[in-house]
Amino acid sequence: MPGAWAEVDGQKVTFYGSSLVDNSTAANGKPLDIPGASQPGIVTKAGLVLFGNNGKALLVRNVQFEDGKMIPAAQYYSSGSSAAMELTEEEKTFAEQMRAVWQSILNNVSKIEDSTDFFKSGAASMDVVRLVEEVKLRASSCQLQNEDVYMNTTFQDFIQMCVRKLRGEDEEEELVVDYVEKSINNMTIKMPHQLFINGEFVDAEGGKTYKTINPTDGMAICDVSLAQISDVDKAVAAAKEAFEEGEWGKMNPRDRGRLIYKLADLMEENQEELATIEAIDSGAVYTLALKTHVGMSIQTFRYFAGWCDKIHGSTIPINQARPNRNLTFTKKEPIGVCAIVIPWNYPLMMLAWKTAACLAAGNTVVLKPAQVTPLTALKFAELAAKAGLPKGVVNILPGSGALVGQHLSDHPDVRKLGFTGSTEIGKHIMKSCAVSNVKKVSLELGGKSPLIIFSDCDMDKAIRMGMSSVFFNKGENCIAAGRLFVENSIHDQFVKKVIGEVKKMKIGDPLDRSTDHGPQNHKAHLDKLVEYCQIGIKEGATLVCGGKQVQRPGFFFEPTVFTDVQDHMYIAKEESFGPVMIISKFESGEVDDVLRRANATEYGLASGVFTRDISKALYVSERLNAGTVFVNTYNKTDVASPFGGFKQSGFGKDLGQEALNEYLKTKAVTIEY
Amino acid sequence: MLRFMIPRILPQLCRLPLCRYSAAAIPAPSTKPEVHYNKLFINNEWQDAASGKTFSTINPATGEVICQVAEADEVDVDKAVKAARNAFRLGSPWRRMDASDRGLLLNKLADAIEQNSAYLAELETLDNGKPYVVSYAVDLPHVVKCFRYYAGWADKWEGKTIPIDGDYFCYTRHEPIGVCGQIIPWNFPLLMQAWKLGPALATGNTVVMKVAEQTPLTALYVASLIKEVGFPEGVVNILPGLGPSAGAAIARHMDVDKVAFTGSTEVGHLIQQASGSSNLKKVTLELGGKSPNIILSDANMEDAVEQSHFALFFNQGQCCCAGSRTYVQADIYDEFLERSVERAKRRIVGNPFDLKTEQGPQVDQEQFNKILGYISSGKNEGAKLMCGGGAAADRGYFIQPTVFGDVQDNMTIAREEIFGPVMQILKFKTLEEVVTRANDSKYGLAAAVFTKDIDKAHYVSNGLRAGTVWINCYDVFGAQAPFGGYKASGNGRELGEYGLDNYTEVKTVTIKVPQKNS
Repeated sequence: MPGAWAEVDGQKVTFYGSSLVDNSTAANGKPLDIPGASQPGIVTKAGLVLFGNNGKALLVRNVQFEDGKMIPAAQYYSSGSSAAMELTEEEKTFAEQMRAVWQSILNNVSKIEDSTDFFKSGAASMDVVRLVEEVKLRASSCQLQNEDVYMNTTFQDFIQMCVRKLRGEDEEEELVVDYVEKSINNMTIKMPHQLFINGEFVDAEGGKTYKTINPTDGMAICDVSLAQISDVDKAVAAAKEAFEEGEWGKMNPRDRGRLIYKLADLMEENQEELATIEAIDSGAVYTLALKTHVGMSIQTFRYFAGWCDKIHGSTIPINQARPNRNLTFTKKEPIGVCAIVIPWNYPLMMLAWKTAACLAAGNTVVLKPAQVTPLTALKFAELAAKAGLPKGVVNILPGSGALVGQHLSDHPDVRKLGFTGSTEIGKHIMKSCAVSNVKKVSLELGGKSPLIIFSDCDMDKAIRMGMSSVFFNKGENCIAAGRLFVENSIHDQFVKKVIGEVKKMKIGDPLDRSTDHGPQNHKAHLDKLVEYCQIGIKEGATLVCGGKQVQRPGFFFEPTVFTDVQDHMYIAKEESFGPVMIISKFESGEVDDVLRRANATEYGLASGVFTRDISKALYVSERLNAGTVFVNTYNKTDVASPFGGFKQSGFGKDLGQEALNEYLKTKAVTIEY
Repeated sequence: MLRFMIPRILPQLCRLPLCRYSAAAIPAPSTKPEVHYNKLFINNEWQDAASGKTFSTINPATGEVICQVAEADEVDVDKAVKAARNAFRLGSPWRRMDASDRGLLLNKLADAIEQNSAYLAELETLDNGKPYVVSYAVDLPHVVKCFRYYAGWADKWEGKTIPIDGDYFCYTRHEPIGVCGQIIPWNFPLLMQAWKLGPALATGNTVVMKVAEQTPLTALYVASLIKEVGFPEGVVNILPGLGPSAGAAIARHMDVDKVAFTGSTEVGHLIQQASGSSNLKKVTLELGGKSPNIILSDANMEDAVEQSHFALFFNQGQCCCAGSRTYVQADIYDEFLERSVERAKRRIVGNPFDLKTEQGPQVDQEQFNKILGYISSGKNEGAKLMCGGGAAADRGYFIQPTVFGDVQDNMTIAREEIFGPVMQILKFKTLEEVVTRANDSKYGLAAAVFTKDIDKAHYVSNGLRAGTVWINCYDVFGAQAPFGGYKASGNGRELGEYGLDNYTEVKTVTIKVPQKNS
């Protein structure tokens, strides 16, 4: 109810920026008598809570008095009473400069007194913009928002507000973070560990926490807040308000782009810290984390920042309603509150792939990182706040899929859900999205990607790429080659060389710069891999190397190679998501047959082919039923190229221009004239 | 997204006189900015002209010489083209650079220009004469936005895969054209430079740019920033020089792949001919205009008067898209004329560094004389001089804001581009009539209509033969929205995604495959 008002303490007070709140959360504060209300309002830290006659509670963010002055409702009791600050000589000079500015704007006022009111003296909204700019010129560190001027309408209040900002005493701007600090990898990393809701780091309801584990040694890194149902509601409400009422929804797209560019720059400045956190939380090898987990995340934000002001609609030549005529055009609009649920294999990069497109399109987001890898997402939240993304635009909730992920899928105010994870959970999410409010959904799910190696390939390259197609990021890679089909005539040579390469792989601490292969992400995953290999052996595949846990602390698994894998076997069909190479033979020259076998899977995420024959390369790439086909390369993803699966690997694309469509809705407008 | 395309500054500026705060948020300028660069910029190095020749650049507010500037001729153009060609060779750092890195460089250039905004605005005003308020609050922000906008395009300019008939696989590659000659005018020196460099560099071309001899200084400073942010040598070369020597040398050069020109229609003809008689280089032209601005009787009078005043007088009338034929519906004609004259009389002409000034001097003596010539032709041919009509100061090239009433379609001042602060107001009765008359011009750059009626707005805007139509506004530009002319106002479009087309060669690659399937 923006603009609603009431008589409070004998004067008319208008309410702005209100949202419904859960009754139980309205707690601590000082009561404020509202005539006609069923019970007194409460001035809390978040604002003024009002109670309706139906028992529902409403949180009001700002209140405006009759004289036009607007204050945060939370400061209803404190504002006005706070003693004026003594100004230093320098600040006095600034004040006098500003007095001259006021004088030049309010040219009908003979003299600017401390009590002179900006708006009562005739200033309009254009003048607010000017005032903000004038302040910036004289004190570049003092970047006001228009709202600051509306909230400090007399000259004295205005100067006090500017000085507070200049002194850095401005509470609003300050981000309070309770860091967990660790000295590691030749640096001190500072990790936020609470939920990030509405621009603040907060505890979960009831102070619930869990421990996140370093897979390298199996030890806890720190306690992380565990989001509950009510936290999800708060985050969604914050995202909704940020979208509907906040600056974000009103901003020029290019300005939105500027903020996202800035966020990318901040991530780049902090890339070593981010990569270190990623390494200890997910077991990613540090150098790989720097290049891929973090490096590609930065590129993703930069790429999508550039899209913000290039999201075009079209004008469409429809049939005219003669004798009149028509103009039809489309507009691409953001969807609103989007939920994003991501996996643990590339914690930051999966966040970036979805969040960057989501924000570039102008949405607000509630994101659930994987429960086992929450830390880089929370660090990202800190950087987003520092980049100046308005509060409520990004909300991060570490928590369980069953609770937080489920509630996001069910939530009536969430209009889109982007999910990356397993096919099983993807189906469940899609069902929940359908049942709740038919929310738009995009799913990037599992894969069992075939890689076909023909005898006419560049063998050295095929070995090198074949290795990385399986062992990259410890096999925790949704596009990992789940099956290698090697042409009969080169099969034995290929296997021999692969084994040689596997033996050279250095297993160790991911922070060690020479390490090739780090620990699996978490214990449960490791246990599953052990079981997976046992099934393979039991069904008669030949275990050439690996197949068991490495005898050292942490969750390390040996790089594993199976040969003689038949199509009916479990390991030929199911995804391992670990460092397990599954090699099958195909008869020389049997291109169509190997294609049939490669496509005989319910997945269709990625695929690859190695051959020097251009016709064969194009033929195979055409016939492979997968969202990505790599020819003579593998894992070459790029921010500008769309990524996503066919069949039960899901639908909807990440990256590239197409990803924007996942976070936009098209409106067609037809005018008759 | 339509509403986002309206730039923030421009509408504010057009209302400046009403709000009386032309000094909005403008740092006090230095009226004597130091000139750091006055040589040719070739291969990331500063060089004298091969001939050793220089020319004087003049402060149009005083007629005094600011400094001497190296004058490029054919030999220097040749050198620059060689540098640009070398920078474009296969395997060069520029050709090998990832598209996203080109975007990064353009973003850095935008940042560097933004950091030097105040200085560049001072220099622009000194050299061009436009009010400092305008340089700082309009030109510079638009320059920065243009570079940022095209920075984002660098890695998003996608080709297509195409389902052709037969057993073939077919796709297109968007490749840069090569060495692009760019010849820019003096009315918006920095902005025209940005409009040209932004798309050319985003798509990966190399550039030999000739800047106008009236206003070479800011472009050269930007050249120094281009080097500073790390563009490889030879990618951008900037040559101050004269049209008949340096400009012509670019237009007829056998190793220039494309020429883009902004300027008069007269010179546009020459450029296209030079291309035809040399190597058929691609040509894009953004030329003159005589843009109709149509005021219907239901328009908001106050707003229409102010906008129409702005449409013509902005930038001393030196806009190719100036609304220089103001058609007013008969029943409001008298009031509109009276108010427009009153508004023109209030226009503050003077020292461009004074923050109150709305109108500075014309760019040079030649333009000054030409405009006075048009004014006397208007008087001779029977138009009614309502105000102004002469020089506005005893030194510098200042001209009084001038308004002609009772202008007829066949008068010289209603047909030719004056490029000065001279407003022509014409009367019309019906919509059909005004659309016909508005289109009766060899030009077709821009047009505007003022009306509250949505039906009339669409009727008129659809009927006008012009590259841009503004409805209830004027001179609203966004880096996202294309701009260019119909008819003799040129060919090709600048700005927006369309702007990329003019700097792209499309290569179709077709591969024989054994068997194609859908």
